Amino acid sequence: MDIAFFYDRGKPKKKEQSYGRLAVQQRMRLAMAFLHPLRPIIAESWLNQGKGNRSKAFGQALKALMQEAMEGHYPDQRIAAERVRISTGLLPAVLVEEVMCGDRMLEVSFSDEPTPMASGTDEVVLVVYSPEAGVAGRNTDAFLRKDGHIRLKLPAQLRSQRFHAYLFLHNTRKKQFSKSIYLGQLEG
Amino acid sequence: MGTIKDGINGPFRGKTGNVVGSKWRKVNYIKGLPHFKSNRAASANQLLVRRKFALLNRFFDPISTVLEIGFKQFTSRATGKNVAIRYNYDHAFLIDGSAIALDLPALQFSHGSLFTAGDEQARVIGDNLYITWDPETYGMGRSMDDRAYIILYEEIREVFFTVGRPLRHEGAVQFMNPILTLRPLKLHLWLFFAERAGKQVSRTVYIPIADPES
Repeated sequence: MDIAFFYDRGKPKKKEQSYGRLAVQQRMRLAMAFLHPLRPIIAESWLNQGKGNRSKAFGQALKALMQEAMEGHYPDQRIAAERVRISTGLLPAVLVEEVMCGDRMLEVSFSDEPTPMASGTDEVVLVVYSPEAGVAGRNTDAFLRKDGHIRLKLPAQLRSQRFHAYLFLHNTRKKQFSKSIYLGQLEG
Repeated sequence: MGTIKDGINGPFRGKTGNVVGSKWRKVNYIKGLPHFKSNRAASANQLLVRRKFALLNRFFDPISTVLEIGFKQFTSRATGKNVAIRYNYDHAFLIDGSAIALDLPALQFSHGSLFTAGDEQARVIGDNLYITWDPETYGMGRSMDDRAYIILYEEIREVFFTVGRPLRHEGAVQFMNPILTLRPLKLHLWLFFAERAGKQVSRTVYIPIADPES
């Protein structure tokens, strides 16, 4: 009896996966790796899109990233950090005027046009993030829209390393959020 | 040995002929009794793999309780040591011809999404080892009450030491032991954090020890 008919050692056990499937898997892997360290922020800033559910909020942010912030073709897909939205909503954002990055501090100055939807007491959030180091940080002191500037102490792992910086606003009750603004890739 | 799925009467358990069914950590296994003992000498590759397993197993044995914490999220179907071996196997060895040694700075004792502290430093002065790290939380991914797990290993005497369980906000810990005055001394130090509930852990950071005397 030809036993190879039942079992052929030379035959690969797993079917080769299709190009499309591999591309989607890589896209998902990249998106998860990028967004996962930012979960505590996204759980709040996308909460309206997640209908009040924190894990749905993360799912919506992940979907937006995969649709809007991916570039290249498999196997060279990558994330365009400038198109990633770590926050979304209808609250008016600010106009960034200057970004100053020192050894241990990051300071951002901004101006604002008064609109009926914006309030001077809206809180500003500055986020620094290095996907390579897997480390992020945000401002621990409260800064308001009317202050015109925000300051953040850089986490130790981001000093003398390149990182991305994002800025967004939310109202005092954390019910309304603005779209995040990408400040660029900076070096501490 | 293979895993077996439940039948209509549940999983197969016990012994029937030369087939043995058993269950461990919610996984149902089916094994066969050995038919014969092979007299064939092990190939070079088999010997290499066995030595690698022996090295890692022997190294991880005394710290299995720490590994249970460091790899807790993966231990539903395996022990912490099992996961640690699987996690480290690919990058844990320095192979030079037929000599194999552990690449100690590359070893990881935990895996998770909690942020590491940053700015970790260690220094030996006399019979004291001073370990410091950045105690700040930077608003996300860290908590003041995260517990630090510190693993100290003396390579020449092949011995591990317990260095206490300080909290992240303390930012420093001091370890005193007469062995630190002995020379030669080859110390290795690793640090990771676990949140208070123990569900989230950080990656492990290897801290080079500054000791001008050794």
